[in-house]
Amino acid sequence: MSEKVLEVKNLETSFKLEDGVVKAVEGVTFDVYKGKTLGIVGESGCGKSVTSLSIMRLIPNPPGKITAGEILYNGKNLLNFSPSEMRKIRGNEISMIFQEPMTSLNPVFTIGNQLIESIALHQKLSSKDCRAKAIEMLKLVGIPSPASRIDDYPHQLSGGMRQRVMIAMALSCNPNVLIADEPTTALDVTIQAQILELLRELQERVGMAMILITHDLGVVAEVCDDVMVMYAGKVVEHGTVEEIFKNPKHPYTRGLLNSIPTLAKDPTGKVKKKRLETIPGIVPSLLDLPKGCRFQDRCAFVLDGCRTGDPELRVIKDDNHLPHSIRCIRDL
Amino acid sequence: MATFLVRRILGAIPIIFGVALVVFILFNVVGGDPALMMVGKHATAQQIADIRHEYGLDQPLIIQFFHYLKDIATFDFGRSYATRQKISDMIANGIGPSLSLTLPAFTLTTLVSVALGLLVSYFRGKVIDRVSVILCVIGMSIPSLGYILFGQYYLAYELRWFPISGYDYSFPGRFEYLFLPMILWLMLSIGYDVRFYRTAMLEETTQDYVRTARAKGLSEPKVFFKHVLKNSMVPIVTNVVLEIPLLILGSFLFETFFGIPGLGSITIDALHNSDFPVIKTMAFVTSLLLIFGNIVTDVVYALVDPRVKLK
Amino acid sequence: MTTLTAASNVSSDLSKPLPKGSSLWALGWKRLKRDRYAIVCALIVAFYFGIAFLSKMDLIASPWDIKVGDSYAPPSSESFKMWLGADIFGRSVMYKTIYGTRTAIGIGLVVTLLSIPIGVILGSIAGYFGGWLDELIVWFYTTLSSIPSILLLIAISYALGRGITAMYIALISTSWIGMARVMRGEFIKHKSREYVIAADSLGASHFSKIFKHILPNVSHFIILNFSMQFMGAIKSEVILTFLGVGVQGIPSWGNMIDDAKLELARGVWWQLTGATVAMFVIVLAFNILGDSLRDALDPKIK
Repeated sequence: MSEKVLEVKNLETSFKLEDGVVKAVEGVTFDVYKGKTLGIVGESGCGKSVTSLSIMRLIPNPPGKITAGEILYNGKNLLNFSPSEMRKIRGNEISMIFQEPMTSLNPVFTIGNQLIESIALHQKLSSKDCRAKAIEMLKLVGIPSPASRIDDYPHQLSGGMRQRVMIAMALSCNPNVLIADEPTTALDVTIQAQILELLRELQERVGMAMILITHDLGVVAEVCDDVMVMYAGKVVEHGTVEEIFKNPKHPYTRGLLNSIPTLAKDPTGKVKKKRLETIPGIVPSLLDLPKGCRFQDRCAFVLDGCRTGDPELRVIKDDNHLPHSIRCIRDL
Repeated sequence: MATFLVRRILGAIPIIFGVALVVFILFNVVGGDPALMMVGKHATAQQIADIRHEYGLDQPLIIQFFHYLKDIATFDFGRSYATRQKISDMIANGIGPSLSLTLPAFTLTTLVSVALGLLVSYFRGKVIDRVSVILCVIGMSIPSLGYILFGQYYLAYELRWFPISGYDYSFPGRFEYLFLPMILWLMLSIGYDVRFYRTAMLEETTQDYVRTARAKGLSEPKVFFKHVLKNSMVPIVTNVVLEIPLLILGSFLFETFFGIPGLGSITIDALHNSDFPVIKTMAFVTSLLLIFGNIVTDVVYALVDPRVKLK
Repeated sequence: MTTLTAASNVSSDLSKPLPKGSSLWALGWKRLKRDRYAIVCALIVAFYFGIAFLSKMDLIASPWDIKVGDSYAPPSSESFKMWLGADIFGRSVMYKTIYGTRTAIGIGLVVTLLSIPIGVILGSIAGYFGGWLDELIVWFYTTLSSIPSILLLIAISYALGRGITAMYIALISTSWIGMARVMRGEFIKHKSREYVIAADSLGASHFSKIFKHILPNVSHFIILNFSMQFMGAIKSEVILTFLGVGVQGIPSWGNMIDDAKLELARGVWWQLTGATVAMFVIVLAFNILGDSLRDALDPKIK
């Protein structure tokens, strides 16, 4: 297995709200490898975005704060970095693209201005070279006639094109890690596929590590190597994509997998339409968590034991580079 | 750009028409008989009839309204009852002093408030920010009249730092008289403005593009003074538009207090003399200024926000 | 792979009540109760209303127009009526300030209670129906707001003869516009929302859609507007009265400041102070209260 670029250990990020302090993310641990992609999956509010913003140390403070854990980048803890050291990491070593290409670009500057800003910040290039590099990046992400498009304002581009610009901006300084926070959620299905394909292609070319945050298991199956499922701020299942898709062990992961429409074939080879299953109930409020397992009220396999002790993450199979672990007391 | 202006001006025509209609209704229909006011209570019936005929007041209202529209279009507003001066001359004489006061005062206020707004929002949540917000709320609650009165009394009368009132038509000379009103104007508006700009800029700091800028590794001052400032130009211009009518109110108050012979003073004098044509004309002319000001700010909008197209 | 079946024990869990959602108003009230400044300011406003009411009932500061001391007698602590000294005719400035409070609150109430319904109705009709009706109403208020309010107020006072009635009409005719603009914008936004379309498909009448469905969803704007309009009316009264087209014959803060114009040079500061401080406190209270209301009722803040 390739080398670890990023190690997140026991990350805990809390927010101070009107009604008390909540831990949006608790005890999250994972590694990201060079040239590989980790998918973080879960419903909205499960802590995926908070995890990624924590790595960038962009949690708005107040009200948020990283309250425990370590984030090791090439072995060094980012949480000990000074603000100026951290700024050298952002956009240069670790880059990020966001869900909303419509609002993530500054509407009053041209895309060229914003791209060049990134390049000039981290690379010692003349302004002419910066512009050339910006055009090259736009070309790389598949923007037609980049030399003239570079002077467009964001509102003159379509959503897909804007997301390409965001990717160009994120990759302009050859980062070692790219965090993509729901990069395709706001886009049309056909554009989604194009953007994912682009990301995969660029990853192969540059060899960076990637964290892909999504609520769409289909995307994970297509792009990722490892996957981590989160529920209500905690990791509930973690393993390689093959393992998890073949052998999901946590009731929540199964619920997620069963809510994807599929065309399954029965033994005779006929396509049969399967009824979609849903996970009953809603995600508990982080302010009002049940005692014990956080998934208990929605779980079909709940036992009395689930209501008393909070289950630990435990390894159930360890024959890969990444052991398969779940946060569940049952063996299903 | 030219087509934009033409369209904008064409769009203003129904509004100008509406203003003329409201002014006409207020003064010629609802208000007392203009002829009676002109000749006084002791005139004979014949005198009144003559005046009515001379001014076309014996014709149907609709015809009178057309005459009024024609007068407006030719900038012929008649003469003042009180001074017999041509009203267009009075306006020409009054607009200089009014603009000499309002434009510098307003520009100064806006520049200072934007700068302070930017500064306090940069230090959001810190002591300097909290103290400023408290000062702003107190400042915007101070009654303007009492404040101007006290300022004039204390700074001009007691300390004799400035002349109490008056005006000098010579060019730099006039500012000797305008300085105190401008300073008081600044202090009077700064509370509201700084707070408004601070809120607008803080609102911008929660936008997604700010997160993107930080994710690039930009320093906080760069994020703020480049990305946030340029975007908050839009609410800044909006506030400026909203405050243009206040310019007229401001010129009324300050000109009255400080004896500056501008449009405000002319109107207030006319009011005290029941000088019907002057008030009527002032209502119309200041509305025109306001409509014109709005067109100008629309152009400025397009300059600060590339999403606004001058079509 | 074990198959997942919707087990029956899940349904029993579903019978548990969902976490209770709270309405915007309930949430707003909860937030407001916790806001100490807002409570203090609400009490201050209530105090002013109380003073105005007691004065209206002739229970305090009555009569205000009798001689209680020498002309321009300075403030003294010996009796309540002399706390703020006397004016040129030896009348109690304290009593005049109290009567001025009654005048101000009265104007605020009349103007807001009349202009807000006008603004709400015209604004919602314009936004809801659109078309020529919208264009007409927008033209009407754009025209009115194109005339600088001070000149419109002067013109109306002039046309109707000076006095408090003319001032009421003048203030109402300018202050409904803000409410109408907000309502129009909100109605345009809300009329295409799903819940209105749902009501429509169930055969709800225009009347029921406007008043039963949309209005409750935008009603918090009315409260916010109320506090702004009220404050605006109080400020306008002072300025109009000062310019000579407002309240005449009874004490008001505007009249007191007008008097003070000539008194200051003689060192008589108490009339100006009484009116200015009385006005400052209530305007400050309204400003802070308005802010708290906006924060408390903002659906964006959760």
